[in-house]
Amino acid sequence: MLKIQGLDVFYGMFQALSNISVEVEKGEIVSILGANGAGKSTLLKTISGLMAPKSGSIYFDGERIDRLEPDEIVNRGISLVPEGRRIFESLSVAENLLIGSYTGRARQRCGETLESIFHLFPRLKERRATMGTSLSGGEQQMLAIGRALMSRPRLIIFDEISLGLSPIVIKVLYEAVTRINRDGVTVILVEQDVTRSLATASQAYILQEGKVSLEGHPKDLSEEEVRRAYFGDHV
Amino acid sequence: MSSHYIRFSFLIIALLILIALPFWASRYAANVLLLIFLYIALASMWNLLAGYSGSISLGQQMFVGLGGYSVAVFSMYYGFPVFIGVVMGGIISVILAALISRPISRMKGVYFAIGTWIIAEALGIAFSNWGYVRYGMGLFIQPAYKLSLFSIYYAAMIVGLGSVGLVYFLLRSKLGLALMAIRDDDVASETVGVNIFRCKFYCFLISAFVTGLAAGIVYLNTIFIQPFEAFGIGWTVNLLFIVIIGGMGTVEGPILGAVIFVLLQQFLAEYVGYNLIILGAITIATIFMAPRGIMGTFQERFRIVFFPIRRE
Amino acid sequence: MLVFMEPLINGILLGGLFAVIGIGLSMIFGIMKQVNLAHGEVMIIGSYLGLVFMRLLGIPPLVCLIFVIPCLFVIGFLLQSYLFNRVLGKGMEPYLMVSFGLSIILQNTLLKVFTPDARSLDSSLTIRTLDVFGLLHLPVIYLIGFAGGLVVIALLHLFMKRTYLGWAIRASGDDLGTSKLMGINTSRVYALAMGIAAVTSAVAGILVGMTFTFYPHSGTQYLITAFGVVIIGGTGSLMGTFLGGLILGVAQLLGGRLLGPGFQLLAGYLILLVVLTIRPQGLFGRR
Repeated sequence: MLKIQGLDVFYGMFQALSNISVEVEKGEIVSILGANGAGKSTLLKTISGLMAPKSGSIYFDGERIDRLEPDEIVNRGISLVPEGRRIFESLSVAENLLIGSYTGRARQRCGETLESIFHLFPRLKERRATMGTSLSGGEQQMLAIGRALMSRPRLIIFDEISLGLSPIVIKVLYEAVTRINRDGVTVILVEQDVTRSLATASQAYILQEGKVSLEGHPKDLSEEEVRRAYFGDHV
Repeated sequence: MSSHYIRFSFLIIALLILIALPFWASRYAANVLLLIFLYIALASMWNLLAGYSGSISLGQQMFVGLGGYSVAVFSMYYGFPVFIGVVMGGIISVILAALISRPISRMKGVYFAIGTWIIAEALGIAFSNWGYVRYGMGLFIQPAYKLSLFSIYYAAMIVGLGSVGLVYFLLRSKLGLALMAIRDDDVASETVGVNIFRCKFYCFLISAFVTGLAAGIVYLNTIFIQPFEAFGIGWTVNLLFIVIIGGMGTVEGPILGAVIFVLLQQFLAEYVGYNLIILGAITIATIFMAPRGIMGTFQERFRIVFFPIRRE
Repeated sequence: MLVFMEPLINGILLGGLFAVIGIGLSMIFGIMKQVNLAHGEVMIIGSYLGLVFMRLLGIPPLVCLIFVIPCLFVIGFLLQSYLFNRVLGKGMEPYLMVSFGLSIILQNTLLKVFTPDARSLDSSLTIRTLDVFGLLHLPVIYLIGFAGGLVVIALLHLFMKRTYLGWAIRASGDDLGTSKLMGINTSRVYALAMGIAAVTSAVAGILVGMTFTFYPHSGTQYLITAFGVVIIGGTGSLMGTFLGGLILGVAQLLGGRLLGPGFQLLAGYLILLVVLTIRPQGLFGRR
């Protein structure tokens, strides 16, 4: 479904990603791991169109998307739940969700989509009239996920959803992730929390200093391998 | 060291030519050059605020008006010699600057820009309602009639070239270093002990003084002063053009910009009404295509600086 | 006491008009964090267009709104698309200077086309006054201006709260990058927002033309009025902008009564400067 080949991304003179190749099959949950600064955010920004690669390509369902604007990419069915949630502070919970269905294809069915998200996260329905940023951290994360789902994506990317949240909340969120996947949405999970994301995913990529240092089915990867790929040989 | 020698001798020769100019050139040429000097002074001061101090002011005309009216009032009502009146213009401008510096310092960015504009407009209204200066009808500066072109020319030259020298030496001083630090990263500069308020305050006072001086000479030249023109936004329009074309944040920019501006004004004088439209269009085009102005782009490309302020 | 009643009430009514003058600037400042220095000129273009349509079609000024509104929408949209979108994201200075240059171009073009003569949009409404108990004289046009202010603010409020574009505009103001992730074409949204701001300026321009005489250089004075409304009322709140307008209106007319008619503008400017110094985020502002 998503094919990334030989991606090189630069911030000015600094190379953040080198020769990244990642494949995501339809219906999978793919996990992308790595320490801070390994290049995960850069990769996600490039996929979603906020950054352009110097070389390499990204194909989504056979169509090349690496030179497209972010709004065009959302229109093709990729949605990103950004790191740090990034809730719109001027908008209420309901408005935050509704703005997620801005794209044409999502707008028509927004009532239906909204209901399913309230079903997934009942807490959001209760607090739908409050301002988006007055929710707790966990609720904001639910809101960010719900908002991304409102565009009826075929591929959804979660960027560090467990950051700063308690284990109970994280458990709820990951249950939601699994449910979303079961409903037919392909998932990319970007995390620092290795254990949980490996438990959920069917394929894993580990990034280190801008390169893919390890890939494979989580069951086939030993703890030793993972640790070395994550931290490098100095540990 | 030889490039210094070349630069220095070039400067001396240029200076000698300029000093001797009224003797060999036409009245018209001397008048044009006089205007250029005055605009160099005004623009250098605007540039000091905008390009080095980081404060875009849309209200420098408040000092223009004060400088002009000081000359008028002190020479006509109190019988001061005209050039003392000019100096008074500078002093009164500094007093205003000092008075408003505290409230102004609380205005940042666009608030500062419009705030200074409003103050100038307010002064314009105040003066046009003030009987002492004959309301909006304006004043004819009688003592200026007796002045020779020579004296105005040399006064303008002193102020114009002096302002360039002032900026140059200022930027090479400790204050200059502090200003560049603030321009690069004002939070970081505070941590190394730079008092941002004090630095900007000094710049503001200096720019007020020189602007007041230059304005005084401007009005000695034009002889007639009227509140809405003296405190009008037109001054800022011209200075903006000069500094943007010439190059904001360079010492040479205002010089080049002033030359281009005054020559353009002479050329466009026939097309009354279109000249400002053309000026505005050129300004916008420059911001799009060469945002650092002619000198700025030149410096970037060729790495040549005529008045180097970086210490070696 | 009674001698202050009239400027007070007229000030409030005038304040409604001021609110319309300022709402466009407030919108743009709130979303793009930039002040369009050509805002006053865009409004005055509306006044002059009113004049043109009045002469051309022989219709009363309020009816001209039907034509002036789409004209100004297009102007605002094009200005943002081809001029301002090119300097967005480069900091405050380029935008400020481009908009300043634009205001000079527009002002002098108007001067060339329409000459420096005083103009006004005359109709039967502009000269009538309402006599309240024989004590107060309220110009009918002030009442219309106030009503216009209420209508514009109310419509804008509904638009921002209930439409996709309204949410998109607010979201873009909050977080530009994340808005793009919602599938929002932020450049186009900015252009549409500028178009809407220009529409409010169209209404303001017609009402101003009916209330006061105007000249090509009137844009400056109304820019400062608009800025005053934004400063006093604060950004991010439509109600705040409306109240800001009212306060400015009252300040101007009361000041004019106290100090003399030549000082009307000055009174407004002084209040503005005080607020700028003490509470730049406005009396009702969020930031």
